[in-house]
Amino acid sequence: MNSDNAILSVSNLSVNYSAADGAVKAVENVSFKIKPGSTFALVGRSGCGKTTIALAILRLLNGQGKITGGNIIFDGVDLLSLAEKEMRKIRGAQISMIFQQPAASFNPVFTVGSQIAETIMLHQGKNKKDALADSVDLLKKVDIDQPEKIIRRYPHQLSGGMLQRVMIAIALCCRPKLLIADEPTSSLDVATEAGILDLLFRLQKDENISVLLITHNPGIVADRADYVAVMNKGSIVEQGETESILKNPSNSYTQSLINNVAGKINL
Amino acid sequence: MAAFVIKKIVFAITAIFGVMLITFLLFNCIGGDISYEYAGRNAGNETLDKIRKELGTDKPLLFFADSQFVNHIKNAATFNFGLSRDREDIGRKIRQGAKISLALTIPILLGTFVISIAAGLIMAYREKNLLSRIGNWLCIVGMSIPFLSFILLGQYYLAYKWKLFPVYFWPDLSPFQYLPLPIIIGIAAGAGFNIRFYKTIFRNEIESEYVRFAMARGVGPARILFKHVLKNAMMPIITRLVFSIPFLFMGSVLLEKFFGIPGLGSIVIDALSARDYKVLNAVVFLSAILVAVFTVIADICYAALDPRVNLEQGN
Amino acid sequence: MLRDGFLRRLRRQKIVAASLFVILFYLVVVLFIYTTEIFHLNTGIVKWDQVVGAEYERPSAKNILGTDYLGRSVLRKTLYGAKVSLTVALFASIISMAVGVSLGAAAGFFRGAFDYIVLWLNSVFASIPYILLVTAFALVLKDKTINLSSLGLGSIPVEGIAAVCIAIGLTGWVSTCRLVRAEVIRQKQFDYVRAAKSRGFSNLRILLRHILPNLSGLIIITFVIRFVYYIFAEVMLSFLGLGAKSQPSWGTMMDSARLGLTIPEAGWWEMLSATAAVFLIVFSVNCLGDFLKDFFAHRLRADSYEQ
Ligand SMILES: Nc1ncnc2c1ncn2[C@@H]1O[C@H](COP(=O)(O)OP(=O)(O)OP(=O)(O)O)[C@@H](O)[C@H]1O
Ligand SMILES: [Mg+2]
Repeated sequence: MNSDNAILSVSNLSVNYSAADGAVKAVENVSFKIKPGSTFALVGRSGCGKTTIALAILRLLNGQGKITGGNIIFDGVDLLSLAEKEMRKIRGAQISMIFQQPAASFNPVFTVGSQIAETIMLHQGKNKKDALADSVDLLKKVDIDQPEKIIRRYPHQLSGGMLQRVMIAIALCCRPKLLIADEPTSSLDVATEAGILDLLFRLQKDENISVLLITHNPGIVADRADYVAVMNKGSIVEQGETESILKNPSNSYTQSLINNVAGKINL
Repeated sequence: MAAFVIKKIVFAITAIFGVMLITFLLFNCIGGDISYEYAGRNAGNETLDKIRKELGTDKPLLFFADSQFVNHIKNAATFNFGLSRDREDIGRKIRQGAKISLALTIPILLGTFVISIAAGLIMAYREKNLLSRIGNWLCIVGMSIPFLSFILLGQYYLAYKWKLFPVYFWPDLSPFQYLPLPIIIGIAAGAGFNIRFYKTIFRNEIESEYVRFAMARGVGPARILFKHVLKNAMMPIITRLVFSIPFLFMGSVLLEKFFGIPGLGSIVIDALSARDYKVLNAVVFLSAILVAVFTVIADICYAALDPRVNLEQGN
Repeated sequence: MLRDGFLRRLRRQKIVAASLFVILFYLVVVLFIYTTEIFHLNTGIVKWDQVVGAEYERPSAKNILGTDYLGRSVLRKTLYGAKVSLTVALFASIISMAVGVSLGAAAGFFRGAFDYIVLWLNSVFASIPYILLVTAFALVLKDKTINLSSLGLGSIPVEGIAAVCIAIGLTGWVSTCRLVRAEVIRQKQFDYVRAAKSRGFSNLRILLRHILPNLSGLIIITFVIRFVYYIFAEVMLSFLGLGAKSQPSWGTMMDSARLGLTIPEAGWWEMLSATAAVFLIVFSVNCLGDFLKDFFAHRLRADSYEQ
């Protein structure tokens, strides 16, 4: 991997959360690169800082979170030195993110249609009617039945799997260059999980999108990722091509992570 | 829908009944025989009997068709409140007082509402900003000063010493002359608490996941605040607003007392010190009815604002 | 509950430490007044009705806070006022918390008919304007005797401070009740309650030993908020002449200062002294309340990460 053709290059990233009784180092000195069109997986136990990295890339750490060092270069642009207004144009259009908890991520008092359309109107300057028509097409693309009806529903009227699909539709509506998928299937049953992942990676191939896939499940990594980085307590302990890492883990932490779910992986 | 409304109305009526029972027990049983007070120290038995007859306190308390409590309910239900101790029609007295009181309390409510929501929104959005932090401390300071001090010091300095406003109500003064100072004091005294109340509500919304997701979609701060956050914060805002409306007609007891404004607040205070229970009963009854009505209005607002609320099932 | 995290946070927030110090100071003053009164000690503070100078004397080296309309020391009255105000606020808080927490917890836990009755009582009390409710209670309770002879306890005269405590306490439980009820209903959904049930614990034991400890944060914070509220309520009642008349409180001081304000340049020092006395304690309690809110919110967050 050389930096010239990487779509995203993160170097020496550190993030702190401040609390009233001191600061928590959530991410320390993390570096990785993602090649265009590839899938890069970030794995690690719960609480190791995966979501924090994703939010740092989008500069969406709220209140207590602060980037204390490092660089994030996306498509040749230094994201950390960008003005907030420019950053806003990148969010949702060039980098989009699928959130971990779809049920909490939609605004409960607006229809899902209006939330898809809002994103389209914002980045493509379309009017509401066209944006809603586009929303229907997008929902068809993510295999939702009767999309004309669904766009008029409120988030609480949809199931977790449907919301996850709507989330994917929103993420893809502006043909982003990078998609961050933060545990896109954590709230779903195994059958639905496979369906959503198939959909996600089919669309990735169609549109040639790079994916940063965040998960705690090495099984998914083995099936879907080209490259993988293993995290423990805020740092990357090992990274490289998926096959070599999963077959010959040099780090004991990686080993234990794989052994935990060994039954599920068919290398 | 109909079942829900009927259930609500039944509950409201029983609550109004409860209010009347409590005030009745308070005044007529625990409060004791007030005919002595009415008659004065050396009144004879005859006078006392006459007063009791007039007040209706010669009748049995409860459990009879012609008992005091039954009459109490009957009179209230027909809005026939009788005469006050100074021999005025209570209904008319309340109407007149309420008009004056509303001229005082509606501007206070609206002013507090607008200022607190605007300041609360700004302070929630820019929580770490120096101005917000100063504002927050000022709010705590304001919350820690008693209303009485606000009134007395405001009246003393703004009106008495610096002569910016008239000190006292006078029938010749127009409302535009005597009302501004009490209104300003009312708003100032309530601002600290209210700003922090709304700030907390907005802050909770701003920290929620849907705001982060909207930002991740590239939505700008103005749209997030005024569309996404405001609509979600509407429920507690409406609750607070709707439940303060029923008490507006009562006016502000302390403000009216100090500025000599002859609103319902003054009438209530006078009635309290004169032990004129008929007036108090009437005011309490009216406020109970208003609370019941506005509770139903609040429920309708919830259903209109929040798609998750379903009137058929209750909440 | 007060593990090392509490002290560590306290050290970082100097204002909160200062607030605790102020609260402590007020408590010491009140306890001191009670001790001197009980043991009939001869100290200055309790002789608030002694004439120490001319009427409406300005603050000076001799009388630091000046004198009132009878020439009594404003400083002594202010300190003595702490006794009445804080006693009322404390006991009213205890009464209203006891009623509110027990009704709310029982209603939320047992639901059904009892819950309906409590909800009904709630809305009955919420329908009456607070100032009318509390003044009516105070008015009615004034100079009454509660007859407990049937319980073998003789009768307790309810006067002055006691009447105000009961009036404020019996009218202020509604919001506490509503908060506690909602929280108990929420807690009941959690697995630990189901686990306790499956182990065959009795309902009462589950409520008292398992659920209520989880409400400690809520209860402490509500207590602090009510306490502040009741200091204000006492001021208002005393001012309206429904409080303890025979002893000075901050409310009666404001009332007596008010008369002075109409005479040019007289009485503002008594007004300001009473206001400052209220302000200092309320400000401190408010700061402490904010700190506790943050502390318990943080604890909740930490707990939710742990699961
Ligand atoms: N707002 C916050 N304030 C303080 N600490 C936080 C905050 N958000 C996260 N943390 C801490 O930062 C660390 C990393 O959290 P993060 O959410 O990135 O973990 P994660 O790897 O995404 O975990 P999961 O798999 O459970 O989603 C955790 O230890 C967490 O306690
Ligand atoms: Mg995460």
